[in-house]
Amino acid sequence: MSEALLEIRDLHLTMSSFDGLAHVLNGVDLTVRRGEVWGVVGESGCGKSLTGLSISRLVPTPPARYPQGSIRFEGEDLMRLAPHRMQALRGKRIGMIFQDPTTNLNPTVRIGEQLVDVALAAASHDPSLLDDATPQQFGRRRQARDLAARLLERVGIPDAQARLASYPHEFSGGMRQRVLIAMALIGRPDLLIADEPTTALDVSVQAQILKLIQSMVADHDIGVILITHNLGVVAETCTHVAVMYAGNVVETGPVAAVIERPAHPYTRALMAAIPMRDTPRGQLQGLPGVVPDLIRPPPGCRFAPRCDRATAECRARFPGTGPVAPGHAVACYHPVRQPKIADG
Amino acid sequence: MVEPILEIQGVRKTYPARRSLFGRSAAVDALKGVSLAVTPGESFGLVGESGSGKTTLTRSILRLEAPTAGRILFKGEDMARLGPKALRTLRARIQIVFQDPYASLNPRMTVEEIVSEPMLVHRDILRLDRAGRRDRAAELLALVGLSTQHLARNPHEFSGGQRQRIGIARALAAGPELLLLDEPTSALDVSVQAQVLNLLIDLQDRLGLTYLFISHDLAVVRYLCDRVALIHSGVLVEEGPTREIFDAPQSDYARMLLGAAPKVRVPPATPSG
Repeated sequence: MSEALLEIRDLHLTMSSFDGLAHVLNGVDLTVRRGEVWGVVGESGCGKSLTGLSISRLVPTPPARYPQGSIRFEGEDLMRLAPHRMQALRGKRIGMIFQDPTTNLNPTVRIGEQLVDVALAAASHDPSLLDDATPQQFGRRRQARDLAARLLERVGIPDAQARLASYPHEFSGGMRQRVLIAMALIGRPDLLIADEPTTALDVSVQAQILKLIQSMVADHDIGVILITHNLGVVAETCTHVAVMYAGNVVETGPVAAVIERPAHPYTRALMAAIPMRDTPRGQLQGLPGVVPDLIRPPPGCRFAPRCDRATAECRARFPGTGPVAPGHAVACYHPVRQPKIADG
Repeated sequence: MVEPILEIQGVRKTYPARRSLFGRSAAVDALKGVSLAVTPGESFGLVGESGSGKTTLTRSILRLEAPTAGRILFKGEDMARLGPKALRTLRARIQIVFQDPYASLNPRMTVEEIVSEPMLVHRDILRLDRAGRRDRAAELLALVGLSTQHLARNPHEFSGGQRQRIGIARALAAGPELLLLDEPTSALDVSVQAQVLNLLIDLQDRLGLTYLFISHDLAVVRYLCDRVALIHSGVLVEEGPTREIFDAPQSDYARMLLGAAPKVRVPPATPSG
């Protein structure tokens, strides 16, 4: 088994707000190796995005505070890294893609210039990025431009060299997301964090983007964290899945194991809420209740108030994470052990 | 054959070419002759990707947009021929639920004001006094699974799912027969989406409503709709009973769309493609 690329241990995150201190992450554990695509799923407000942002250290402190926990990236604790060293990692070794491709590009600057800026910034940390591009005598800017064009081509934008002169508004949503992926890949990251990268896109474009991410993993042996609320996307794209609920990772494992035999009642409830091929009209199961107030979270298991299997034990103490099968772990006193649930 | 509640006949919509500070834009054919019929009491799904023309069609049905050619009939009546007063009367019978429950409720209004507003707009049809409107607002909230105690609150106090319930209550306030549902669950979590979908089914069974459900989420359409039409670049590419379209799509576009939609199933041991 290869060494972990990313290792998050017992990560706690609190946010101060007018109403009090919100316990947003409550001991998150996650390990990502090269070649793995981790789907992080859960309802809105479960801490998926903040886990992703914490890895790149993009959560402003204050209002956020990390009372305990560590995030190790190839053995180095990111929580203790000086800001300028973190800056060098971010965008270079850790790439990020966000949900909305429209708001993440500067509308007044040509695509090419935006990519060149990123390429030059990445090259300032690692000059070798520009080496194999163009003969030295053309200058770094020209080299960066060629690199940008090559990346645009790689993410499937036809006539890339000419499109460098385009403005973002001349691109469709799917193309803009490709530009952002190209941008995230310029520094040849080892870890790609994609936060809902296809939520704003049409299904056909979504399929292309997900395929692109998969091919990046196959070609460059990177690790990926794919934050999404769409279990269908996870089933088709990811190798592993982590289900989050109210700041905890409640179930982790290989995608096939978790989706075939979801053990945590929350995972099961999430899956039961998806309309499947044979769901009879009116028989879809919603999940009653809402995500708990993170300022005054319920004691014990945070899912207990919505869980039909909850007992006094659940309400008293948070269950530790334990295995239900090799590689498949669940944080629940009463995990479901049942044959697999029906296909969609 | 029952008379359709909504009939769209060869509707075309062309947005003319424009010249502006930034140059010239070409004319856009948003709808290129779309025809379809919705029968009373059914759920009709209109599926298309962005830019397919589904929003233009929705806006045309609400008469927020005048078609360039073709007719839209509501219960046999051509909407284009109605005078302003008749059109207003008709609008009480066609209501819409919007996609984003965070953007479609005025944050400065109470729930009671939000739900009562259509009753004020259509007061000449509904003829409700202040007390009558209040009672009806309470009744509508109960219908969508909220309670009277929510009447005095503002939208920010509600979750996304509750907000969408308020949006549905507002759409029902004028007593419509046809509800346009414009991606009503795409901004919600799956767990909440399931509740809202079940509410829509329950309301349809109780009130005999007709739904025109606009969506790009094929799983939701398959769950809710009796019939489906696929629209692509302003052309209706396929139409039929939901089961037939999903099980045996005829057009290349339908096959592509169905193939691209991610499904919750276990991926094969060897990665494909």
